[in-house]
Amino acid sequence: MAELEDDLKQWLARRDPSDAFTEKVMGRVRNQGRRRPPVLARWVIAGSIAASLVMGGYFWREQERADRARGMKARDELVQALEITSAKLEKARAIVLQSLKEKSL
Amino acid sequence: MENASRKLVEAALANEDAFAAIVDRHKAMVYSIGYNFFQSRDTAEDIGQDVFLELFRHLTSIESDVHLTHWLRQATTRKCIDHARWRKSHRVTTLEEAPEPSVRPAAVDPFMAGALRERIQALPERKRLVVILRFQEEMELEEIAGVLEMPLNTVKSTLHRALQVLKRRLSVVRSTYG
Repeated sequence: MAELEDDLKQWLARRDPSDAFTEKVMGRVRNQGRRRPPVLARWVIAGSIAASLVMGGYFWREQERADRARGMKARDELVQALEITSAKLEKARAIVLQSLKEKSL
Repeated sequence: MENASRKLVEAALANEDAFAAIVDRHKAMVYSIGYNFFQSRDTAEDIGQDVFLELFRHLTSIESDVHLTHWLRQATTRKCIDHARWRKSHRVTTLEEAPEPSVRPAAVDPFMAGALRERIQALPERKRLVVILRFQEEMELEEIAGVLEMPLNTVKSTLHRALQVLKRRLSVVRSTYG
């Protein structure tokens, strides 16, 4: 068994890959680096996107609120104008009715 | 933690040359596991490149030189098994897998070396890896159990059975060729 184990150690001894091996690995590492930004940059990009979404959401909500407030104000003004018009019409009607009564007497 | 190796890993995170130094230091180990498993230079180089690329992605998790060696051995053996399974499912055979006598260690009888290579290739994947890690890397059985994530007793019995098979078959070759 010792002879077999010696043969195995010799047969399976480490050997070097081709001379270009390290350069091939580094080429793939560089390509990967170009495809994928470093960890810090990935976090910065992800953080920027998240911040943009939050800010966008906030401004959109504020815009909605302002539009709604303007709408409510316009509605109140319209109601007020209609009330004034209505009051004036009522007053005119009363005057017309009064003058008709006086004429018939 | 070994400061020197940790420094090398930290340098490799920032500097390409430092990572190239790690590749140079460990390429023979990684390549040889793949070569002894497949008897194919091309396959061994492809697996070796994949392993180092994966290492580059996981550099921050490496804690020491011992951890780095363990990580590389484990990643290489896993890739060997995955690739062997892929080849089985795709029935891949390459002409390049013929042996290359010029790179064989000279001390081994060529007939015996050829017979030994065939016998090792005929072993099931796990048995083959146990033999490679034991005799290429000269690892202790506990270390092999750690790398292959197998119980120690299973590693012992697997190695014993593999050696029995190799011995039996090689004795036939010896008696045939004198």
